[in-house]
Amino acid sequence: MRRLIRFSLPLLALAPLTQAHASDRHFTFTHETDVLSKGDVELEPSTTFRLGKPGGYFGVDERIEFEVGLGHRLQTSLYLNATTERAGDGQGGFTSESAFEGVSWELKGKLSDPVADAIGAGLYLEITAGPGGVEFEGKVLLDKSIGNFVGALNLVSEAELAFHDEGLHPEAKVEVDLGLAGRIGKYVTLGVELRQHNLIEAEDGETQMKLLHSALFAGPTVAWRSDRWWGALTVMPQVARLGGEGTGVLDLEEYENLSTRLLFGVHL
Amino acid sequence: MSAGRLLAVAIALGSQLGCSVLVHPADVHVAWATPRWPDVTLAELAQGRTEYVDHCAGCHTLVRPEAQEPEHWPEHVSEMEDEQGVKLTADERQHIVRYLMVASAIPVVPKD
Ligand code: HEC
Repeated sequence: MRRLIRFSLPLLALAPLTQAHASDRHFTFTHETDVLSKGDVELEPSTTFRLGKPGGYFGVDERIEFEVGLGHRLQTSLYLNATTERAGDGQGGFTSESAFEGVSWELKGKLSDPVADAIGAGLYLEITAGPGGVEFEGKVLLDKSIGNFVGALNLVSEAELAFHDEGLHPEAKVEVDLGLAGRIGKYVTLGVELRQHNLIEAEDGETQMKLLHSALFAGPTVAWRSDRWWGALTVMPQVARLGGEGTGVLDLEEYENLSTRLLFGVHL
Repeated sequence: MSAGRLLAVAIALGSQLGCSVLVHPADVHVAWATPRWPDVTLAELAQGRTEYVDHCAGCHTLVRPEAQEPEHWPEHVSEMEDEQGVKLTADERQHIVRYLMVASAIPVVPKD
């Protein structure tokens, strides 16, 4: 944890020194279709806190993103990913582990604009490679901005090949993200985000892939923009298990009880 | 909800979205613009709309033209160049300013 703080603080300290303007996001899990102008560069550190699994589990995912506008309504990003996890050791103590999770490359294209056109649309592709496996993620992005209202919907699918001791282990994820927010004054938006996540994989020792985990998350989101940087925060409790294996109102085997994501954008 | 109801809601929502589109330049805009800039053309205004969407949505959602008085737009565009580092060629600036001014004056093309 201390390492993460040491990692993040210098980035935040940069904020007041840099020029104004940034492509402000209103949500932290849901993406909008906006892309940076050609040659513009933005630094986006993102921290996700995951807690509320049995045994005192606590996880922190740190992603540092460098975004570059390519022009022609395209933007590309490079991410560095790290995770710190703390879990109970079953004897009242805790073990804590930090790991570098790899790098990701993203390409995002904007097809239409949420203000100028009837609906904003975009495509998003992300490839991650790390010590744990490789991951391909595709998203269809839709958004709309009318007056003081912003709405965004993402359809996400992800294929992962995880490196396990017994060989490659395939996983598929399907996710729907929805964000709705209203502007309050010039600098702040307030809203809600919903996330529906499904995990499809083979159970240990089997080859047949099936829906093992499915859950709905929902919670409030706030975003603010100053002249120099922007930030967004979502607090997203798990609301319900929607299917898959296991019993109980919530799925705490795969997912956490509470995810909180904090995102900053700093224009370089 | 029945399929018919759902369709009606979808159509109502769709037309709401359709109404919120940034106006596409038409003859009424050229008529408004010609006394100010005798060389203006419909093609230039259409070009201005495209360039506005391409150059001005990189940092914030597009500001609707009618949110500012037509006369204030040249100032706003200069401010974006001087203070926010937006890079425009002289032609792009002219197209964008002209589009924003006509679209601010006539945000919806009247139906005849
Ligand atoms: C590099 C980032 C960036 C780009 C690109 C950009 N803007 Fe801005 N714009 C800003 C920032 C930051 C603010 C808020 C600053 C302020 O309020 O003083 C702003 C504010 C504005 C406002 C004032 C809104 C209000 O309510 O007062 C207008 C109008 C505007 N921009 C128009 C434009 C136009 C037109 C373009 C394209 C020529 C453009 N912007 C491109 C960063 C940008």
